[in-house]
Amino acid sequence: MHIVSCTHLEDCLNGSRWMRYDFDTPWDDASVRSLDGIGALEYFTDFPRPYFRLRGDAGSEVKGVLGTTTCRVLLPRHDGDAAQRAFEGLFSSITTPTHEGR
Amino acid sequence: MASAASVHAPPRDPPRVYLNNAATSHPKAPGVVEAVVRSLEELPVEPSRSTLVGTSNPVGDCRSALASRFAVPPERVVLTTGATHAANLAAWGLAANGPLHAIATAAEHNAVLRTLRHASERSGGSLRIAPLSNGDVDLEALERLLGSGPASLVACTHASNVTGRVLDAAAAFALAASHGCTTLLDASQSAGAVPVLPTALGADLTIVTGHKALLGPAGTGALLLGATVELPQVFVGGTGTRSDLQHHPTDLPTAYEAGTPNLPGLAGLGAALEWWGAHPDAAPRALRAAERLRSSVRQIEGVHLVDDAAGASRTPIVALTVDGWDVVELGYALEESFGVIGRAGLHCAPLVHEAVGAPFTGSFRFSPGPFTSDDDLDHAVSALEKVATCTS
Repeated sequence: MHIVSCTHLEDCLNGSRWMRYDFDTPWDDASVRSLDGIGALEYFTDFPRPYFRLRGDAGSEVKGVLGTTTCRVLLPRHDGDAAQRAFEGLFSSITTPTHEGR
Repeated sequence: MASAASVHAPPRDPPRVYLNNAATSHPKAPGVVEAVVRSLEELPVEPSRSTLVGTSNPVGDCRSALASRFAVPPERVVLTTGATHAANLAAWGLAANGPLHAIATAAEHNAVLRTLRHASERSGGSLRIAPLSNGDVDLEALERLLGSGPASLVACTHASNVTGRVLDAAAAFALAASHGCTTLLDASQSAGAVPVLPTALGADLTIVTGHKALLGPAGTGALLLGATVELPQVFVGGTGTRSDLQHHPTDLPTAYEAGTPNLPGLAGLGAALEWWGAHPDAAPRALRAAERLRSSVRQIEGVHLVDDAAGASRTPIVALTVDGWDVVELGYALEESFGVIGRAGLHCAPLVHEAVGAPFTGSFRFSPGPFTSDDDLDHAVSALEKVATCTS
């Protein structure tokens, strides 16, 4: 999945560590499941548009919805830059059918 | 690698259910869009200027409609871009007289809180917060505040934008008046949702927005001046009248209106107010929708209503938290997975959550409107139930 953009998300509380990532292809079932093992993956497949939540180390989180081209990433308080680089490497390593066909 | 289709059916696009009318209403009242478009298409009308062309007077019509709705004389309706603009006119005007010593309830929105904070600090005054008791203004605490330090203004929201609770502003303002304070009512949430009569409530200054329960466009609102209040001018400039004067005119409402008004917006708000006049059942319909939603949500395990006091008078708002879900994530999941649009967070009212015993991190808020259908409500309740009870 190619990262198209990364935006810091403001929220109601000062010091938000949420980032929004936009990709060139949507999350599919395989790409969501590929997150398992990176952290604790919760995948709610009975939602109309299945929702996933990955809880990683040091409070990091990834949240998104199947079929959309975005996700939200909560960076840990410490070593946030390193975690961000790790997540970006992870996303870039995910191969989707769209990419396979290219 | 397995494709999505081999494991799950493709994700369905859920129906969109808009339950965020306390932020801004959608859809607008019938006739609003047409009035805005008409205003933009017709020859411009500027009622106060001598180069008039056109056949209608959206500014005058809107002012008259607001005056009628809130039972104040038209000349005491100051048209603004919204409640925040109106709050700034009030606060900075009062601060121009000397130190502004304000007391505001813990239920206030930042449109009032921040404005009073800045104006009081800049004028060498103070801002103190009156706590809530059981979701309403704590009158005993307010009286203690009034008696324990300088106070020149008491601000009380008519209805909390988080809990929906209609506060006892009349009692708060009676106390304020007995201490010689000016009173400021924030009717942003209540105007259009419940009856608002500033004079009966004892409000010297009332701020109103047009784009919430009044079902008008964004960028519209008003400051309603009480019969005896005198407020120094804040904004001055061109008025299209008395151009020979070196200073801004002092006649009402021109004294507080400088520059070109939002003609399309005011045309839209005027149309909304006209619609309201013919549909007095619309506000009760929204209240019934909220009560139905509240009753259903109350039954869902793991869902906690914010301020669920029985018998309380409210605007159409249902605020809640869900076990295991951060409120912002809850809003994200409900919108993206279920198509249910509400609002999550502090709702620009940073003090009220703790004041009513809710988490300081905020809440998720549903706010139906008069056009919310039973199907919309059922879909929202079903979605919330699914989220609250989900297991991966």
